[in-house]
Parts: sequence; C-alpha cells; structure tokens
Amino acid sequence: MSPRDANTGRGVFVTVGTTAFDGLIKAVLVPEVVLQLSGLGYTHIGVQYGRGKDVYDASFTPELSSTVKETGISIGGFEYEESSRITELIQEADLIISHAGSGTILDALRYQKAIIVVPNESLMDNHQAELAKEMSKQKYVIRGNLDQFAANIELAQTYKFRHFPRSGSKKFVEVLEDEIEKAEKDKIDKSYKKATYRRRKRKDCVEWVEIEPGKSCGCSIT
Amino acid sequence: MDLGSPSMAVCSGKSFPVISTSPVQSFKIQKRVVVEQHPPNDRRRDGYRHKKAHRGFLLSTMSFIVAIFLSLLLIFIFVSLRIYFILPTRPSTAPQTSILQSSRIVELTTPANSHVLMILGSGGHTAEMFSLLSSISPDTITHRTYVFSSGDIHSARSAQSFEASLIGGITKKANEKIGYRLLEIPRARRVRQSWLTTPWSCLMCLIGCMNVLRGGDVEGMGVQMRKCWEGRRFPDVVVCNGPATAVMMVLACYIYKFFGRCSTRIIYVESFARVTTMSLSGKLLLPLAHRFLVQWPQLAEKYPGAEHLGFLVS
Repeated sequence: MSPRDANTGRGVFVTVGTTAFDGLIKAVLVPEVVLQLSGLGYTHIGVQYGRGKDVYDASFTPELSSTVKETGISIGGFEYEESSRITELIQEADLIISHAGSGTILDALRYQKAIIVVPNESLMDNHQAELAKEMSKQKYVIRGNLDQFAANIELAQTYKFRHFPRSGSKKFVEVLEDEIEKAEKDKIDKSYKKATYRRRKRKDCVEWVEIEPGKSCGCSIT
Repeated sequence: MDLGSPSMAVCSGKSFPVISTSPVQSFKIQKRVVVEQHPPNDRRRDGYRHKKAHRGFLLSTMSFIVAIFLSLLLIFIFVSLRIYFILPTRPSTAPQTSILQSSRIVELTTPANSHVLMILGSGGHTAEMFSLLSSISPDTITHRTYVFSSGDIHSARSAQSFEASLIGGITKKANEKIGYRLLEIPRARRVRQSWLTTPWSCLMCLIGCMNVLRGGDVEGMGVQMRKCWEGRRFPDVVVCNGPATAVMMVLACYIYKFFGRCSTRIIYVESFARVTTMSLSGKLLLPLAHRFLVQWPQLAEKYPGAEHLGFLVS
C-alpha cells in the first residue's frame, strides 16, 4: 500500500494537509476519475488523507477495486508525513491535486509541476480560497471544482502553467541587508551622541581639538 | 455529647457578662457628656479649631491630588513623546521610499558582522520563513538567533537543517567561532486556550522574549561562543512573519527601545497566503515595523504603509 511502488511511470499526488478534506478524497477515488487518470498514462496515485482515513477506506467500493484491477493502477494512502517527505513526494509526482495550502502550492511551483488546487470551502477562515482564486487568475495553478473534476484533469494535461519567479528570496535579502545597514547607522549615531554628551559634561573643556590628527584627541583648557 | 455540653455552658457564661456591662457603658458616656458641657466657650473654640483643621486637610488633599494629576500628566506626556520618537517613520508613498533607500545605500557600507533574530511560528510560517531566508549569506549575517515556541520541535528541527545547509560551505573553524542560537520561549497562546488564561501566558512569553533580546543565555555559553556573542547581544534586525509570538517579541523590542537600550529594526513579512485580508498579527504590527512587506498588491493598496515588492517566497 506504499504510495510509491513503481519507480517508472507517471504519478498523481493528492494531498489534503493536516485537516480533513473528505470532498477531495471522494472526488478523486471514484471509478470514472481513476479510469480517466489511467487513460492519461498515470500509473500510481498517492493519497495523503490527513484526518479522513475512514473516508479513504470507504472509497474502496467493489466497483473501484475492479477498476483498479482492470487498469493496473496502484493506489496508496497515508495519514501524514514530515514536510520534507511531502516535498519529496511532490517532486516525484507529475500531477498534484491539492488543498489550497500555501506550502504545497509553493512546493509544486518550485518543481514546476502541474497542480490543481481545490479550496476547502468547509474551513472557517477562508483566505485559502482567495489564494487559490488569485493564483489561478495569474495562471500559476488550475483552480479545481469538485463538480467538474474530470474536466479539470483534462485541462491540466495541456495547460500552460506560468513559471513562478525564483528571485523572491533575493529581494528579501536586499531589504534585510539594507535594514542591517540602517541599524548599524543608528547604533553609530547613538554612540556619537553619547560621546558628545560626555564631552559636554566635562566642564573644563571648551572645545575639542585634535592634537595629533588621526591619533588621539584632547581638550583645550581656558 | 459530653464535649458539647460544657462548651455550651461556657458560651452562655460568656454572653451573660456582656449584657450586664451595658449599664456601665451608658454611665461612662453620661459622665463624658457632663465633662464636655462644663466649659461652653471651650466647645465653641473646639468647633472652630475643628473647622480650620478640616479646611487645612481639604487644601492639602486638593493640592496632593493636583500634584499627582500633574505628575501623571507629565509622565503621560513624556511617555507618549518617547513612544512617538521611537516609532518608525515610514514614508507613505512608494517613490519616496526608493529615493530614500538609494541615497542611504550610497553613504553606508555593509557592516562586517551583524545579528539577525528570526521568529519561527507554527508549520506554515516556519516553512515560509526559511523560504524567505534561502539566499542569505552567513558572511554578512554572522550572528543568527532562531526563536521557536515551546514544544514546536518541528520548527527547531527545520532551523537546524537550514543551518546545516547554510554552514555547509564554510570551514569548520568559522562555524565554531560564530554559529547560531536556537532558543525556546513560552507560547503566547495555545490553540483553543481559554481567553481568561491568555494574558498570563502572554506575559510569560513577553518575559521570555525580553530575556532572549537581552542575551540572557549568553552567560551559560562556552568561552569561545560567549566571546563572540558578548558584544552583539541585541539583534540588529528582527524578522517575523505572522505568529502571535512575533507580536510579543516586537513588544519586548519596544520596551527596550523605550529605555534606549537597543536600536533594533523590525521587518515584518505578511504570509504569501494572505491575498486581500491581513492577519491579526499583521494589523497589530503595521505601525510598529520599520519595513512592512506584503506579497500581494491588493494588500498594499488596502493598508497604507505596507510595501509590495512582488513575491518574496520562492
């Protein structure tokens, strides 16, 4: 039941994140979709079902089992793995069907994989749906619809995904280094202020003159 | 029963004399009244004195209240002025920023070593943080402090693996000399924690943050590490991207700034997942961060002061 039995052939990776997303598992694990995926040349489906183990188990109806036998496609599922392992699985797969988690989306874009994003409408905080909408508007991902899942998979085969820019981190480092410089300047200003304050405190000094330029300083006493 | 009856007897014995003393008391009062009635002039003078004393008391209390009020006002003015001076001045329009930046870059040189503090939140935030940091060079950012919430082993582990990949290019000697700090602080608020106990846990978190900023752990370090960290206890820049711990850390920063202890600058990066709505931490930190970066133009339009430089994750 390992999600990666064969090293050859094309793979599909379905991931729902840490929460339950029963709708997505139900939409993928039906005979029609499995048949379609097999027809498109996919040989294995890996499912990360999170908290939806019972839904995953219940999906294996006699019809689905017979479809799996006929097509020879392998289906494997697991609850959750370390994020580095998830990244590996994304790297190995050819098509990613995912919830709208930013981590999965970014991983898929990093390895330039075809990705169908299905926002989990049952979640309370729905900023993930917005992310999916905006990312699909800019053609980085396909926004999936559970009612037309077959059409989404069909579209993913020919869709021209836009490449996600890889220079983001460099931009951030520029900002970071700029701020470090400013902090350093603030620190120097502060120590300068402290030094001038100390000079003012010494009453016998009227003005500071450099006795030996570049070497040491003293004060002229009147 | 044997124990009960004597105690009852004692009780009745005690209560009896109380009733009997009442005539004695009334007699005493009568006697005092008689004494007071005896000199009538004295009584008037007494009343006058009492009135004078009362007025004096009133005056002193009034002046006391006024003094307290004035001093409170002065403290308030001082505190608000101080806060006004330490708050970051961010130009509101984008073109101004670029002019300012470019003019500053010319006159400044990159410092030889610097200390950056990174706050790691839960899973998603941590992953994004390391995505942001993926191209930093350990040569310019020589001192790195990672802070994670208690119990978040996953974040700690990813910080270690990130450091391993970062240090990979450097010789072992340099690694020993500089290295990094990985510190744990109490969690500000656990998921589904009661709102009643939240202030307490937030306070504990704040104290933890202040300890980290102050470099409280430097004392316990080895000789070499300590020598390296001694002069750079306060970070130059704090980088945060969302968790509640970040708000506490920034607050701790401002407490030290208030007393002029540090000149730390704060960079806040809003999560890539936030397209049109700001997270709560973001809303709180918008006026406090020196650089507030968002990754979607919609947010920059909606919240003035937020900068949009395109996607920062990669």
